[in-house]
Amino acid sequence: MRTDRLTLLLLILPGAGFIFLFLAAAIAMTVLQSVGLYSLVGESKLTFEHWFSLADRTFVDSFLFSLKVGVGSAFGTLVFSYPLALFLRRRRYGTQLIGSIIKIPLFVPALVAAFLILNVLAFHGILNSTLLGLGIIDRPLRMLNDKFGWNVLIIQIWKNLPFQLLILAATLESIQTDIEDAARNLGASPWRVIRHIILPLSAPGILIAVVLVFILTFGDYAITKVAGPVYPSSLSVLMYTEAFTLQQWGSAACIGVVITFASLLFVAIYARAARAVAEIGQ
Amino acid sequence: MTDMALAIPPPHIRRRIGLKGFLVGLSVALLLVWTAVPLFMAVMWSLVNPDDPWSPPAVLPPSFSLAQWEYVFTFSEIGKAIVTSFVLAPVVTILSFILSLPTAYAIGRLSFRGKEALRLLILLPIVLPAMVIAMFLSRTFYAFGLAQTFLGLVLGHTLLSMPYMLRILATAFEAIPQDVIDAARNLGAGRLELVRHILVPMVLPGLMAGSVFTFITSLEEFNLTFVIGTPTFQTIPTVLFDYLGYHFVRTNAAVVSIVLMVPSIALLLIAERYLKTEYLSSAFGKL
Amino acid sequence: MTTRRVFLSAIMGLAGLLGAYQPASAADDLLKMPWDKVVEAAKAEGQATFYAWWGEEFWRTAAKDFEAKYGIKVDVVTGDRTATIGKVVSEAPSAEGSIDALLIGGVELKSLLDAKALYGPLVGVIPGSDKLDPALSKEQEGYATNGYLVPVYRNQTGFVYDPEKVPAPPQTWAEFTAWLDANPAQFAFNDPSKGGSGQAFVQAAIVNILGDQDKYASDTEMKEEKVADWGKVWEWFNANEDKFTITASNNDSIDRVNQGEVLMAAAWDDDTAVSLSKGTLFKRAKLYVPALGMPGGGDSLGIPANAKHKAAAMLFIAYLIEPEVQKKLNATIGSYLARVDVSGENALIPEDQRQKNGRPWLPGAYKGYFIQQFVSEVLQK
Repeated sequence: MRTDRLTLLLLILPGAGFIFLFLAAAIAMTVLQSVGLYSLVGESKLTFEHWFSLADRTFVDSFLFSLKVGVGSAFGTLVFSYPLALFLRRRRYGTQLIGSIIKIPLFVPALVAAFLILNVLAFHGILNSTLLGLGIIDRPLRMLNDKFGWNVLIIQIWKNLPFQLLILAATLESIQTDIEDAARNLGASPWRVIRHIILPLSAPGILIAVVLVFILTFGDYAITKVAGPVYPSSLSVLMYTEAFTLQQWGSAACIGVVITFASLLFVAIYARAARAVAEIGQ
Repeated sequence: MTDMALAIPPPHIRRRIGLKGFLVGLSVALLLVWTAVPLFMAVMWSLVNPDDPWSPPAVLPPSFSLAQWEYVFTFSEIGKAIVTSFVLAPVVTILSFILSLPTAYAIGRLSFRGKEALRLLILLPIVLPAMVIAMFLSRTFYAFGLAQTFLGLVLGHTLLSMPYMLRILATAFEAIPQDVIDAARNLGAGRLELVRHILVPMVLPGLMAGSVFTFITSLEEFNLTFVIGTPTFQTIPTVLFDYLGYHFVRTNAAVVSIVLMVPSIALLLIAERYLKTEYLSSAFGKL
Repeated sequence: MTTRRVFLSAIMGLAGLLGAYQPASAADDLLKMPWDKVVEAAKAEGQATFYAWWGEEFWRTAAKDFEAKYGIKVDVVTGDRTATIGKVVSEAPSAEGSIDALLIGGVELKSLLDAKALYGPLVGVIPGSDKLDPALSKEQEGYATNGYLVPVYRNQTGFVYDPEKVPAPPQTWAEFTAWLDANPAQFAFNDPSKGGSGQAFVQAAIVNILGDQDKYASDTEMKEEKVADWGKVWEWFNANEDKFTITASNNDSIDRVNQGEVLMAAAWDDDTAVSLSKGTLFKRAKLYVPALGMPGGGDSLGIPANAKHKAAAMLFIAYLIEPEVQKKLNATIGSYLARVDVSGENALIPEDQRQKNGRPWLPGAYKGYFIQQFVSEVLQK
């Protein structure tokens, strides 16, 4: 169906125009303030001093921490979500129930998820009590605000598992079952079918699932703030502290630019992967 | 996955139903532990009796009381926050719907150049880091007098939650087979009838799913509300953040968590039949 | 039509003039007016908005009682402290702000004083304000408050502990370090950038390791030569890294004691009292100020210079420092009264211990510096 350009523009404008306007305003403000322009306090002039101020330990440590959380959550979730998606692929007794239960954390807000998991991991929380009761450990483990960030990783995995599962389920669903059936009829073991047929065909879907969880966790503020280690903080937390506690909006903007462009880079990777999935589907 | 017809298991699966059944049972049990135990602990913390503290070695609170609930509802901001949250979310959902409808129609039914890029653009608000958007949008909002106002919150929330409405509606429009429309046309259906009898019923499930996601996203939104709205406006998540952060009080946090979580999960359960896998994955993933 | 429009705009212009003129003159007068006139003006205003970042139970109860007494409705808002102070500062340039009175404390109060965003001076004008803790009335966080801040409560840091497992808690610095050696990882304090009780412990370490707290007193700017030897303190922290548990907030430290993760932690008296009353800390827990000295201070009330209901705000502040209300504050949230002529019953720390072992805070400039140094020299190592 062909529509004339004006009608098309009028149709697209309300939704896309709204998003474009506000995102452009936010990103432009970030970029401009990172080079000293449009600063609401103090004088505005073009300067790169804020960028030079990033070259310190705190920024590097926060960057590495955010990277670790992003990569760790993305792959950590995959370890659980992929087998589950394979398992749920064929409809059996109980899969519907599992499908419903597993969706629940998707609707649990990030802050609540953080709180829920913190209770489980507390010094005398249910996990330590169980491990003690089973005789696996002699003393409770100290898991709160740990230096590595295990806390944050566990919360992110809990929160993002259903989300990755949905994407993987959709990908696996698009793989035609006849190839698989043929292989099986030729006597291939289930493991070989997974390894040589399903895994390669679902690779772009896996990439999407991994990249999306990475993007969503890399820029996290709330969970790291509540459950993260005492030091370092995530990039978003560092950015907030710079801006609101230290009133250094310039350096905050630089951190904002770094997070935004890192995310955009991954969005680009994601877009390519998504196109590949679409092609497989056809 | 949920849409697949219930198939009779082929013989080789039927043979091992005992083992499979056991595995299914085990995974259901594990999943229940995985999702339900954290929820259960929050309920326990919200019922701690102030006169009978819960401290180790007690695995559960020694006695229960509703005093923590009473405290939170008498003294905290939660009352006002519930009102703000539940006025904001429907307004945002309706605004998102109005803005999304034409654009989703264009993406779902029309072919034009740059559609891929457009789809990517409308995904950005949910994949770009919310704190960055919140903080630097707030700078613009302060300049236009929108910060610390209800209108500012509506606009900000709409930005962050509309993508779900847009993408799911677009998927719903896309899913209408062209032959159904053609057939209706051939049978002499007018524009209005086409809309009323074909488009509306076929898009309605998508609209429901989109609304649920938009509503819940607004309900859960923290970063932007915290930067643009507080302290003038508090929503349930900002109250929760207060009790989790600087002013950490586990029992209060437990109560507020439940207040925040229950409507979302209830909505999920009520709307489950609309939440088809294709909508969910189109909301987050597929291009 | 035109005449009507002219008439209307004339009225509106007049109203605008009056509106712009009247509050200014009335506001000036409030500080000089006899108090009963202020009360009258407050009743005429009929309402006020009060912001605080904690202690919701007390403020809301007090607001209700205040309304019953004067018929003035006080809307209590509890929200993030940084956000509230940021709001007052960002509203300061406009003629009318939306906050009438607020609780003020912490190092952020400097930005309020710098922006000249407060109305006053109030100390000496508000009845009863001459009975408040004299030191706290002059200076807070090392900054001269010039009477713009009215102290509302005092608070004190100390160590909270489990008396069953720590029958004789350490008093002197030597005893404390020996205790640490004997009980590794059993002492908790929070990251000093996330709450005052952690700052209190870091300050206690600085003062005990290097001695001479007085040399920092009343410096509004940090003097480099006075912090030259602080490296020794950071060395001590790094050498004993494994003997501490560093937590995420004031209350998190108390929670770790309740969970049995640590035996002792640095904590505020009021936070401890609230935890005890909320059932989030076991009842046998005790709090004391060790002889090695721990800082204490207090928080204050203030009125933004552009508040709409200044008289009502003044009356509410006057109410909050009345002896009976002060006692109620102490009973509800455990903070100690700002008034020195009455005493409260909910004192986790006996008054003589508070006097003997309590110390003032280092001036804000030094406090800000050690918070930042702790991050770069201890946490980053």
